Amino acid sequence: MQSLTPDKTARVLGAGALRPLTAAPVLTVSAPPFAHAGSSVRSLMLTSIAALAPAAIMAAVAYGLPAVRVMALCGATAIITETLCERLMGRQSSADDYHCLYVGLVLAFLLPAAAPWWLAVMGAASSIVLGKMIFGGLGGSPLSPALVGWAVCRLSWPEAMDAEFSMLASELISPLHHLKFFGPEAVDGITSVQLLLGRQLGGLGASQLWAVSAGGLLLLALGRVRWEIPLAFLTGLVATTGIYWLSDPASHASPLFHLLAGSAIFVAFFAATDEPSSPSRVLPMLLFGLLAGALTAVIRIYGIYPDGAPFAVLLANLFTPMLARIRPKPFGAR
Amino acid sequence: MNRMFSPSTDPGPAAMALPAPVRACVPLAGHAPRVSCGQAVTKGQLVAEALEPGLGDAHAPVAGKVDLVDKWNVCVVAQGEARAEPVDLAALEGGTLRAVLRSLGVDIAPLAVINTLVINGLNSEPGVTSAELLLRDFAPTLQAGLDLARRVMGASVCVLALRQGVAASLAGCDTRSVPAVYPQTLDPLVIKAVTGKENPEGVAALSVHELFCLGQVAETGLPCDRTVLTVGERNFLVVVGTPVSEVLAAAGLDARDGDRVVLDGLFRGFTARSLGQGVDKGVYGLSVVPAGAHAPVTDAPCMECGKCVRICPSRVDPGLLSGCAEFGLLKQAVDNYIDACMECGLCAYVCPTHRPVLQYIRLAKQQLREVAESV
Ligand code: SF4
Ligand code: SF4
Repeated sequence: MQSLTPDKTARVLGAGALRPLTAAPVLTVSAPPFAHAGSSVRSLMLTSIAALAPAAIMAAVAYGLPAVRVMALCGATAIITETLCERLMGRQSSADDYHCLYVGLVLAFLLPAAAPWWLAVMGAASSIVLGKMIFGGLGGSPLSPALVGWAVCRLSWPEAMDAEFSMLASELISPLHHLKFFGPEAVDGITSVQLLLGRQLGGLGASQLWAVSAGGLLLLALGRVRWEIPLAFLTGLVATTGIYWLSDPASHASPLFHLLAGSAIFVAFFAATDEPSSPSRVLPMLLFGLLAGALTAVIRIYGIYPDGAPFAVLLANLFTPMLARIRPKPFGAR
Repeated sequence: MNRMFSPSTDPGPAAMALPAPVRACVPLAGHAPRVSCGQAVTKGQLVAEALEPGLGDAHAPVAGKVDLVDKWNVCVVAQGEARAEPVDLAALEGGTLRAVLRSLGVDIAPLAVINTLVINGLNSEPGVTSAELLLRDFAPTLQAGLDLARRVMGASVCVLALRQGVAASLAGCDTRSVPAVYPQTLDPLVIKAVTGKENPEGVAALSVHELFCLGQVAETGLPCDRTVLTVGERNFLVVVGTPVSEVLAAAGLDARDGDRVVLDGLFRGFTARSLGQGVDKGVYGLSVVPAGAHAPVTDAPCMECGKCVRICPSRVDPGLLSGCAEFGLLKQAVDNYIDACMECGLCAYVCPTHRPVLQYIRLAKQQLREVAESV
């Protein structure tokens, strides 16, 4: 459907072909519209990557070179994997739209800073191959690609993925691990301010809480992400954990703790909002977010995995086609 | 709010009347020529007959000699003042009146028999101000057109929809202010704003450009031969068939290789094939979109970002429909309400992958029409 511009025409028919004898210009003919809002996949992805920057910097400050290494490995592997896949599929490379880089970075944010190189490489490659390319590339993913890579790593190499195991030298603790294995008293001493300042072990970027939140707000302010999914996600998490906490405060952590511990805020803004795998109308988006938030709480409370947010979003992704069926009647339909 | 969608402002000074062209080219979409090269024609003489019911015939806008007849145009080199015999419309009624109007070049498809007539007095697209200029400066002609339209349509109620702050009136019509932000300016949405209902029965809308054409016929008994169009910041009153090059020159614009010369507006218009193409009846705007003004349309797959879904005034899923068209799934397109699309162009305007969303939808609609005709 590309328009046949004069230079293309000339390439097809030989220079000078179709040129009228007069000096009148050869116009391009096409169907409307003739205006464009100006956004592109690349500009969207660059905005998202810019919103990751504060947390990336904070991660580098907190963990030093190891964090930079994981981000670099994930990003580079994602780009190389996508380029290779497209080569194999006989397609033009689309790595320059930076979507793969974004996916790689989101994955890196969920890995521990001490992740071995092969873990980062396997995760990023799985994200791109299993999360994106086997479904035909950008737009085809039924699941959030970065979370697919995360899930592959989480299920295959649990020790390496566990920040408490892999970062024994750190004096920080992972609040959700302590909650899971030692009960709510174990996390009594952890204040919200500590959590907010990122004084917790977890995904290397996801735990840089204030920086992640700043990035999330930036996404909202720029209109890159709409408020429905993040807000509904966090509401679902707070409401569900709140119900458990109110019913039995002794055996459950407070909703505020659940909100601030682990990767919930990061996932709400940066992974649950992945467009192809989430619905696009307002009501389905709200339901999707609520569902993912509630599932996060349920997995954290009953599941064997301390942080349920990525799994919850993957599960909610499965409901997307169903939620997308909730749609208004078209204009004038009776 | 995006500047692109903001309501158009004041139409500015009176329309600049361009002299009748030395060579007028009448575009022939849906017409079969009925004259031959070298033939002398009078102003207002039939040059091409409409092939579709509801479409009006085409006439010579100037007297002179036909010097080109092809699939797309009939061109007349102006010479002399001879004009066709005016028709007296006052005595006619009903079917005869419709038939005569059609032979005078009026598109009668929009003139359905209804009880409520909405006059869309808004500038239908961003950047266009000609509709409000017509309301301000050509009220008598519009009134004549309205009276004729009401005779044909039998409408008992008439509402003139205006942008807030515009003072205009037509005898026999109530006025109503409605939101004037694109795409609210399109007929179905103006009707909704006026009546509160979506596609209600017995209601039709006419634009002031349609009234202007009809008014010229009513006043002269001859085919409509002029239109007012917005070029840049100004409005021009041009004779039908004036080559776009002359209008552009008058507005101080010029087009180069690869540019698009757009007739009507940027969201719903169409492109001229060459600078010699004549301006048709009812055209309301003209602009040049330079080559490379925005990223080219490509057949990129939909990234499911949902921007088009949320902006679509028809509440359909344009990304999905364009996919149906891409893969020839016409039945799925119908099941997903392709017919509801009012072709506002916003889906392709917002699409970050530069996918030809509306273009695909129009393709599918065309294929559906062909299927319907073949059975
Ligand atoms: S052109 Fe696109 S946005 Fe406009 S009504 Fe049709 S499908 Fe919807
Ligand atoms: S705007 Fe384009 S990419 Fe986004 S959903 Fe619509 S068609 Fe797909």
